[in-house]
Amino acid sequence: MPTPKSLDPRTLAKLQGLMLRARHIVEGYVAGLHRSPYHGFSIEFAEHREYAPGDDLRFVDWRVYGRTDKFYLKQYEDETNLILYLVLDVSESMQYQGPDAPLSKLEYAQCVAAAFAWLTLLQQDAVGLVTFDHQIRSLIKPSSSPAHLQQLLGVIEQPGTGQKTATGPIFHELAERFTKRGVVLILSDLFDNTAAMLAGLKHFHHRRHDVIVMHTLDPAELDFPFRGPTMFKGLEEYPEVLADPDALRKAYLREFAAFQNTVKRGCRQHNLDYQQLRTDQDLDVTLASYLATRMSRVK
Amino acid sequence: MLFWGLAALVPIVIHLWNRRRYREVSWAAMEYLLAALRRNSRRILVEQWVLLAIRTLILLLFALALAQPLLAWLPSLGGSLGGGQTHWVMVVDVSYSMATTRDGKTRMERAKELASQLVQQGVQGDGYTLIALGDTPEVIIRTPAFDPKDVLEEIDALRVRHGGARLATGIAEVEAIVSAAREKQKRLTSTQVCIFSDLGRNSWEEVTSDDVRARIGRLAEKASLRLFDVGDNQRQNMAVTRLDVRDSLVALSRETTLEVELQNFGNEPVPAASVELLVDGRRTHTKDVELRPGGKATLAFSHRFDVPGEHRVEARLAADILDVDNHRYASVPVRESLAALCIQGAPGEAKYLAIALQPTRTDQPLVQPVIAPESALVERDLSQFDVVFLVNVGRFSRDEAAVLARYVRQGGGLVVFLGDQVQLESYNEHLTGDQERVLPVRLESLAPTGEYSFNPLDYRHPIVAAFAGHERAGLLTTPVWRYIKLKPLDAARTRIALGFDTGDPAIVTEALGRGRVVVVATAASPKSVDNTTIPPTPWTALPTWPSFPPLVQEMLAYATSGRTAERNVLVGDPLSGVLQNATLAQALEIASPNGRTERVSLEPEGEDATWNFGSTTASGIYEARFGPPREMAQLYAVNVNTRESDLERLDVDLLPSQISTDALTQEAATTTIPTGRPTELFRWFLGSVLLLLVAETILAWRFGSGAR
Repeated sequence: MPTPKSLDPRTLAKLQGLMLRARHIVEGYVAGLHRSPYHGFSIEFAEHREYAPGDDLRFVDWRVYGRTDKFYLKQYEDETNLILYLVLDVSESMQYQGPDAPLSKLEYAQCVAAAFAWLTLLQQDAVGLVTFDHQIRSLIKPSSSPAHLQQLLGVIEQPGTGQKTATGPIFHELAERFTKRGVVLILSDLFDNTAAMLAGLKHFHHRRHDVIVMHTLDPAELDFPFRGPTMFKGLEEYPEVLADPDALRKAYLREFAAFQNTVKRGCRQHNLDYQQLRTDQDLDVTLASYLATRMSRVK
Repeated sequence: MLFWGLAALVPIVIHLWNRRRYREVSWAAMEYLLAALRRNSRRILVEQWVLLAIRTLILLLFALALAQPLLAWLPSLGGSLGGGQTHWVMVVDVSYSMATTRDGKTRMERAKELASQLVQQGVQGDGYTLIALGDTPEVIIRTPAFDPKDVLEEIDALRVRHGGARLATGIAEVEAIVSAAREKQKRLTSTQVCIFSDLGRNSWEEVTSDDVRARIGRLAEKASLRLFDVGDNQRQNMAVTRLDVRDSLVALSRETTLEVELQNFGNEPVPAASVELLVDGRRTHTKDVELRPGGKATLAFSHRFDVPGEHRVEARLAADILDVDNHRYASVPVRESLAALCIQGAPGEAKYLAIALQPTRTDQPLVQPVIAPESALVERDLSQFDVVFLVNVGRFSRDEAAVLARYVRQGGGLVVFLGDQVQLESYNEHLTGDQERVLPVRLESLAPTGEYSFNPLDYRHPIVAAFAGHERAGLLTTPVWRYIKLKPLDAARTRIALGFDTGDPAIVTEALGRGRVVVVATAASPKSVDNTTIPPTPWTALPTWPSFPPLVQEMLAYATSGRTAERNVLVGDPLSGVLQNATLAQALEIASPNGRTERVSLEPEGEDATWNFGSTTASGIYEARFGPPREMAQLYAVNVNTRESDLERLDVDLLPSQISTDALTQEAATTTIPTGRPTELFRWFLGSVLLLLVAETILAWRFGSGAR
């Protein structure tokens, strides 16, 4: 069973290095993992494997059982397994860390990306990676080699760029570049032109990618807990603003909710998965809730 | 107080300060914050302005509420509006007309209420001076007092004096106090002189004099003058104006006549004014008398004193609106007998005098005359005698003159009969000197022998007053052939009791020190003769004439009155006495009618000791108690001067224009310090502050985080 503590972002914050953090998450999580949701996307049979407790009974080859009285699972071709495209926003806004958050949005997203990469590679699926701000900062082609993990983590771990975001054009470009159909996992706060961003997402969908939007947000952005006169220094080239948060809270929360609703509605319209990540939330909750949704959709 | 208004700036300063003090945070979701700002900036600005306005208004109203009593007071009293404190000079009339009651309350009580009200309504930092306006102004608080509690206590302790009030001296005192305060107390920027009086004519008619008007004019330049009238139009007052013992010598077991004079000061007749006579606290007589408006009546009561010693007599009228003057007191010392020393210049000279002093043979003679030669003057202790008669004494030595002078000064009576042995130079040299004067006259010269008669000079002097209406008593027919011309030394003090038809004085009297001296220009025995004529002519037939015994008795009464005259005085006059051969260790206490007892110290005067007691502020009987070794008591009667009993009021129009009388009302019962001013407004201010505080709390909650 995952120990709650091991997946607490506060615990993760104490660990140095993404590798350590990712292993922590994966070990904590995999201990209770019964099956990978990514199986089933593959179609070409590869070989049989002996049954082990925790395997899905759906994949038991009953004919082999009838013949040999032993449980064997049907396994499929590696290459034809799922390709996971990790799309990580490393713009300046992702570096924001609110007063109540143990990790910045970027750090949290890095952990999530690393964990997914690890998990996926464990399943012998292929993982690709893109980091971006207003342009693509790095691009690693998908691979399922276990040695690939080291490279992935090295790129994921790179610090933010301090640049503006431009999600719309980036998503369009990526939709063109991801030639093989796969799962596109977007980790971003989506602070950008919403309409352009949604158009980009739509493009992924159009390319028949399976898109998962992990909307990474800081609790401060969701609750606006500030009190007393405050000078807000805008990231990503926004100006400074002196404001009374008490007087503005209601209006801000209304604006922010409208933004979230727009994003959610857009995702729903194009049949994209939307998942909100709060950076003070335990990672197992994030992962489990997401995987549960995936499972239901896969069936 | 208006400085508190500056506190209204506090919220503004805090607001500005807050704009400078803020914390900085970096912020990613700027787009949405900016959108919120764009849409709400106008609303937030309005909300902030509303809150700021409310907070400023709260403090401003609070300051106004604090300042408002002061603001309302200053203009109403004509004081300066420029802030600063007020010096309140409160002058309270303490003349006894202030004891007049109306509806069970005296004018004094009303004045005290008003004065207290004034103090209570004053503001922090005001100074108060308190003056009791009596016959002499009594300054109770001279340098301004700043603690209202002390002032209220002093006001409460004020009592009516049994005297009048002198406006002129009072105003002079106020002027001095105001000048001194303006010099020493710079922060008292305005001065209010508040006079609390019943505006009695007797006290206030001085206000019409040029001197007082000028003083008030000067005072008005430094201070605002304000009269609080506590009087009313009641005038129906009666008083006992006189209580006298008609017989100047009150003797034991003899009928004595006591005269009581009453006056109705009102303008309505009194059909039956009831008068009681109390002797030693016991009611002995009661009489009713009718009194016309403004009329007087004299009643005579006959009384026999059966015990020698000091007696207290009181005449008492039934109560009316003013009780102080319904009582009059007398101290009556009753003597068992009098000691008279008759010094004769030659044997037999005093024989007729002795007979006249003791005309009837009784077991208890009133006067016990002792006849002695000239040498007795220095040999005997004169203080044992009530009166000394000198009959045809030729000359005096310096010592004898000194003895006589001391005797008279201490209150002894001296009657000098002249005669043919008298040496004018010796008399003039030793008895009329400036230092040790004994006689009221110089002996000028012998009048030529002739036929002279007495002129009673309208019987004005007490010595001859008894002869008035009794022409057959023989005073006018008394033959005189020779006398010594007398020239009064001090015309203002000497009185001529009897004259000659030539215009020369026959009997001259003077009160010297405490004593009384009588000089008779002619002789007291038929032995004095003019040998220059043939046959020799006697000086006078007076000793054998029927007028002689009564004349001697009256002279005796007059001469002995010195020791008792000071027993009956008016309020404010001092009581005094002399103790012969007394040491300063002699203890003396004076018990006042108000129950207070004070020790009085003695002052040396030669071989004697004198005492003086000035605090006769109340009417009644005062008792002087001498401790060992004398062990005796003397009674003194102190009476009111009934001038103040006339309750007529001064016409308000006669008041100088500088005295503001806006609090003046016809019926003093309704006189109050005007408070119609906006105490209500001040309440409104505080009420508004409360409402605004509630509104501020609700709005701040609505505008702020509470609502969202």
